[in-house]
Amino acid sequence: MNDIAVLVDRAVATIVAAAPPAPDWEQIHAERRTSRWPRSVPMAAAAGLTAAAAVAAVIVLPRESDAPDHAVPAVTPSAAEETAVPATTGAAVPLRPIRGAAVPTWLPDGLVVWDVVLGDGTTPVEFIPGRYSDVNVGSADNPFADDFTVTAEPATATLDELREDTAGSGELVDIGGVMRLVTPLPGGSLVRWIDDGIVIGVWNSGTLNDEELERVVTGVELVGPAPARATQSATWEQIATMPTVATATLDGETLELHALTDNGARALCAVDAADTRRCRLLIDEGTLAGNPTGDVIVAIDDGTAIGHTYGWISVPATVEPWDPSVAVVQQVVDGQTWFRIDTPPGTGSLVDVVGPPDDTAQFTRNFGVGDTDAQAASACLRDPNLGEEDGCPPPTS
Amino acid sequence: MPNTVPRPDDAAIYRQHADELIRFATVLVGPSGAEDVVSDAMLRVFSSPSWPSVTARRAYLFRAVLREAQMTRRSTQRRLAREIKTADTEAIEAGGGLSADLLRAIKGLTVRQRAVVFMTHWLDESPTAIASALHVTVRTVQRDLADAYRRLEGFLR
Repeated sequence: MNDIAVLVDRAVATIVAAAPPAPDWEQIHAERRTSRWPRSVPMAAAAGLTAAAAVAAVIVLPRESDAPDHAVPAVTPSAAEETAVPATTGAAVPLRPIRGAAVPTWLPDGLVVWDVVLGDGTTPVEFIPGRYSDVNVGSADNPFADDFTVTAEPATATLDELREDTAGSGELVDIGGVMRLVTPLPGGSLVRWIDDGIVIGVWNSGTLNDEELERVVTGVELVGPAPARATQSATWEQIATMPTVATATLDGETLELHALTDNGARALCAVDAADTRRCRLLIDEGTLAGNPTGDVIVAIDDGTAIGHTYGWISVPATVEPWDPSVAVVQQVVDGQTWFRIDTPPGTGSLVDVVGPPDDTAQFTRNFGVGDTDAQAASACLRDPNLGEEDGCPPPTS
Repeated sequence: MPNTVPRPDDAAIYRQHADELIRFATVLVGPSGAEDVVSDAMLRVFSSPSWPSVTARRAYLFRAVLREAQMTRRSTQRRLAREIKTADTEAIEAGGGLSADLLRAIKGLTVRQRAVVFMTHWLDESPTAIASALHVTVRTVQRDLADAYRRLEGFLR
């Protein structure tokens, strides 16, 4: 055995020694509901299944081979059933502890929406301040740390209480057998997913236009799955209405920095004073290169991605001119909207994909900051037939 | 309706391999993400209609964990970056932390390279056996191992 093999032996032994206890069988299955329902039921429901059928579809994933693939259940709108799930207004079911990553979004009315990411999917879970307790998110100096444990129990909110929370402005809607509480907010609406009288998910429909939202509210026609990480995206109007927290100068031009995310400590986009509807890319070099703790944020203008960043940005920020070589490409694949962010080959800086939360994971081809396979990543995205042997994630099933 | 409920022997199979799977996952994604990767992978496996027909179950379980780890690659990279930062600046929790150098070494490998390294150095399996378990070619295993050595060398020496 040569020297390096000995060193690797020791390294592996050290890592293995740090292994946590294996989750026990009961623990795994106790997590089934927590980890499956919120991110899967909405999709199936949107495709026209009742809640019960949706659960069944989630559990029984069709397989084409014995490989552990992640094919989405084959459902069609014709499978829709009209059986409504009666609203439960009495007993509340405690939320179970959730392990995952969290990204907070401060909505215009001060409501905080936590986008909790579980495994390869996204489980949006809303925590209403004062309602749920013991939300432990990272440390005081890094509140945006992911990989934390949310202990939100007891969750005592009943449907009636939720109505009270929204000052009576919410409207309960049954779509595909799943109850939703739609609450109009400036710049969009919140669509809460209700199960047994508790909120199991929230859909910030800020990316929907009025016509689409109307379809959701009336239930006349199902819209697609929840927009990809909607709470991390924003329309131009949303950005423009955010408070101006600072100004910066770029090429002699004064830019206003609009806080999208929180109390002004960070900003997403800079809007030029002439309001030409351009979103400047702000990059805090240190944050981007050294400690990326957030997700890709895509700013949307009239349906087109016009800016992005990775992680959260400090103000004052290093204002970088928009680099036209960094392409943010919106593409629709299988009816779902994706945003592909390309960097020039060889720069090794940033390639990422924002995709809808689902169980397919077929396009969960995420390439983090610092990767050097930007070119390969782009190729993988463009050609779903490329597989692992080509250096790509497993091909689309 | 096929296989909506795990069968009794699924629990036994899981318990038989749980320890080595969590170690495997720890090498793939680090200690803090290992539990979730194993849990999610097992949920997928035991919900799969094709699972009862699988004969090489141990290899299948390893592949499932590997696949799960590959799908969580981005969050894994973020987690490792954060753990490296923490390890640089704060005391490492007794028993639960790894040195920054070691974390950097892990981060420098692809998930599959980590799998190959683990199976070679911990399970002591041959390239042929690893190739069979991971459904890749022997040449791929050899290449991954060589690449992993090359990348690790700078961190470990």
